[in-house]
Amino acid sequence: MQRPMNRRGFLQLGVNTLASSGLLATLGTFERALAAADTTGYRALVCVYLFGGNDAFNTLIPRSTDAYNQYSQSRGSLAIQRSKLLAINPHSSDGNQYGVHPSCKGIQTLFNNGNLAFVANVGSLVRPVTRAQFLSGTADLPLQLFSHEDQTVQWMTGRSDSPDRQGWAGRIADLLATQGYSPKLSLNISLAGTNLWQSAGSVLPYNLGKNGAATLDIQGFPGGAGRVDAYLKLLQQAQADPSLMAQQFALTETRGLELGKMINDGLGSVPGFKTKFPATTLGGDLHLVARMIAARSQLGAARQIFFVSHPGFDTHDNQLSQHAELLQVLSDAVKAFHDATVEIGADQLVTTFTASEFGRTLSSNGDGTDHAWGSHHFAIGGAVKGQDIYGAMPNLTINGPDDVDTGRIIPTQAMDQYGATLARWFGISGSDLDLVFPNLANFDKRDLGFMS
Amino acid sequence: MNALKRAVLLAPALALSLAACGSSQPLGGGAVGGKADAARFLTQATFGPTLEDIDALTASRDYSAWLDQQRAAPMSLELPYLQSQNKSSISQPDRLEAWWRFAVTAPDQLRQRMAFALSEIMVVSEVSSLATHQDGLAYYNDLLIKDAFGNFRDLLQDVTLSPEMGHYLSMWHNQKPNPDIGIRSDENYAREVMQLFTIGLVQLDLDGSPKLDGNGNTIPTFTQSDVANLARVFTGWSWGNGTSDADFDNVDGDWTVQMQAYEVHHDENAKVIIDNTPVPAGMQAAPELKLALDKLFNHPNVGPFIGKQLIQRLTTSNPSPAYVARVARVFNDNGQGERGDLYAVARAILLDPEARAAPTPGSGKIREPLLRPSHLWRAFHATAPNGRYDYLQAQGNLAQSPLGAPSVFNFFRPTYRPLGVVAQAGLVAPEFGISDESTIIVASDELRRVAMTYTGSQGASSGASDAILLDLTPWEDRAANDPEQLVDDLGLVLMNGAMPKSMRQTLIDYVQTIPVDQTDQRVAELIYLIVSSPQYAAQG
Repeated sequence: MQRPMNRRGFLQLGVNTLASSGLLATLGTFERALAAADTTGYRALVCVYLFGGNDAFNTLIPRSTDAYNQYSQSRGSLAIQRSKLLAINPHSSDGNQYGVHPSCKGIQTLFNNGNLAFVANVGSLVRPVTRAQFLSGTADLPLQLFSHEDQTVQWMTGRSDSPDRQGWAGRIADLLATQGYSPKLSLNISLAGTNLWQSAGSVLPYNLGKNGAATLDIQGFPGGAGRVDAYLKLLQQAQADPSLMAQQFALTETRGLELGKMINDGLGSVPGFKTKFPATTLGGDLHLVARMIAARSQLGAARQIFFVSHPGFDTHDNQLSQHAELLQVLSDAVKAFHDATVEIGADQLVTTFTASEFGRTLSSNGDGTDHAWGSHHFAIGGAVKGQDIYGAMPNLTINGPDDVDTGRIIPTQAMDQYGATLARWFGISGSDLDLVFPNLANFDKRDLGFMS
Repeated sequence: MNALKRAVLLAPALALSLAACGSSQPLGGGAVGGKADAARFLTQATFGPTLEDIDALTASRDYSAWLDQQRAAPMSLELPYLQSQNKSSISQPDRLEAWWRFAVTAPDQLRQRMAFALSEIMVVSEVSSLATHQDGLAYYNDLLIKDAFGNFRDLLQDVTLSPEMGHYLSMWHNQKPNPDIGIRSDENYAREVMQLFTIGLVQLDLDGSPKLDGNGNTIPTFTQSDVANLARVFTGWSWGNGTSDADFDNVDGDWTVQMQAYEVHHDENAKVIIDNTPVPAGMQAAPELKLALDKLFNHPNVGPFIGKQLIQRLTTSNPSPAYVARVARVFNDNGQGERGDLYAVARAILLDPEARAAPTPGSGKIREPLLRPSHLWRAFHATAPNGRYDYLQAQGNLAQSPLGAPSVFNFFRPTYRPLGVVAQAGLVAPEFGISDESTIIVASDELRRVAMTYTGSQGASSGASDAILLDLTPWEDRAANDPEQLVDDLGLVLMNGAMPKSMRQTLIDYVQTIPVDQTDQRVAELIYLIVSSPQYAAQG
């Protein structure tokens, strides 16, 4: 069933057509053999999505006197005290010293141990934008800048210029499937419910419950066997129901039942971790991801992409205390998760990274911040070329050279480049990266260099 | 290839061939005006039909009269009910009990159902600092109930000035800019009131399709500058019942009265809001807010933008553009020159030919999870020994809870398109946003517990004073003497008479394997299998 498909075909095929093999035949003129998917070894990408828009300018902060004063001036009452910053020591220097938010002890340790890289001032972009272009209205801008929903879609699709509804992790799964990699359990696994990032044209993502796969308890009745048979028969009949909604529901439930058993069997077969995970939702989710990775052989997985969410970053008010708590949870959880991958000898095989729809205004609205644009991110893992900051740190002056308005900083690196760097490590190579990130060609660097 | 994979792969072809039959092809569901259509109408308009309601509506054959009765029915309001219990404070379980009580028993069903729909558009949630202000959440739900048949303009103002929305989207305590210390006005409410509550992001035609410019691109409804200016309009609001300027700064206040203006914190400078609308300098907070909300209310997008979402909450996920246009036209003018009459909009949605036409492969929607227990409890006249409707399992087991969305973007988005047969047919199915491989299974187990908790049942919980017990006794005769009739009657009240033949046969075969003297078990088993089935989950 998984016939090789040519690149052009992959680009053109959308949700409506991928299932139609007739269309593939018509593309015969353009067909040429593709390399088989490179799925040797095992690799996992773990996206920690910071819903709401993380204030990364209060996560990674300059410590040098002049740069700190500029930061402090712009941030006013939201500035973090210089003496409280946790120092980080990058290998390379742009002339300034930096620190992380006082809640980020785990992140500091990971960075200084060489397991974490910051990627500076990333955002949704169609192509590079200058301040002059923005202010004169001539910039080619992402659609609906500063809207949660739209910038989330763009981070997830890599299509800042289009209402395309195909996520780039989904496109990776589709691409690998056309190259012959289609494991029984989807490559794409979400611990945060349905999401656009992992959904593209053909490969269905799998949504995992908070405690592993959900299982059905239907044998409570003395007439047991008959009930189970009837339940499953209705489920099967519904797959051919006249209603498409009923069909979709039945197929989803059937998939959940069948994969759930395999997953729970796999999870049950691996020993527990010595690493202690924090008792937070994020800590619990990353614990489960670590268990899924530990069970990778039992699950038959050579490549996995996990989606985990950490919501609450829309700090329009009461930011100082809220943000400190959010970062504490994040820092503690990703530190434990990395330690767990070390414990099972998989740290070289797993890369964790942050995503978030946008950064926040440098200026305050009284006790919080509003929606902005560019923002710092980080990647963690043994394969990350850590202890460095990749890309230029922006000038944090309000109405300065990098600001479009009240401290909304223009990103200098596109999320497409950030994603492509991760995807390349994951095994997507050469021009295949342009299939996953159609706008990658609009930027000079195809790889931001933070992955080995 | 295993059986599951084969089923997944074959399904699209089946779907496409069905879709090719044409949308006018009826698939059963009975004649319009018959019992099946009455049941379907009540499924769309209430928290679930009962046999009695179906019979009454079928006998009258007058949906219009039913709608007018619903309009005239006395309002069931949460806060007065909760306050009548004389507790020192209102807890979350108390508020949820009030919601379920009204969902199951309130006579003003359509009003409650509209309020529920509105609560998923103008979202506030207890998944926030509002968790500790349950009285405020009841007040907010009540304002939706009060305005559900009123005018959208009043609803917009009541939502805007509620302390709950004030806190949820931070208009409460929003202040005029202070350039000396680099403080701007908070843009949160200004953006979302436009993006989510009134006009949306792009200009729409009357039928809900986006307008396109000469290059084929959508046209934004507002700019960032419009947001920043509107943010300054929404300055100076804090607790109601304030007596001095100092009350503006109070950290706590009365969560059950509208916010009031504190002019000293209001930005009186001139502004320019959406569509280059000038707001002259020197205006006070309230008249300025009125000017801005009037402007939004009168924007041509509101009818199609809000109308389409209300259609999606009541009748179908994928209304035709013509259906949206018909509803939007009623929003724009109720026939007596009034714009924004929500009762007229509800009527238009429910009486529309598309809502009343027989189901097609792509019509209808997934039932919202909260509407499944309410349906069972209504259809089987459920009561608890303690007389209450204490039910706290929805958030954990149904992935939905009254005023409990994860964010202002609700439990799911109106544009959500799950990968699979729905997407292949070019359709959206918002409720699949919370119906995935895990949540469907967890919900199925929960519905088993709800169905198996009936008077006389053996379940562990059924002896508890708060167990909400289905009354199956009226059905037991049929269980013993006429299982086929039992299945058909359950198919009417639970599935609007549209149970597929294959499903009917499976149920008839199964029920007869249960000993004939276990009549209650026979009924309960059937109810469980029906409400946990995909065929039931899809509301045609």
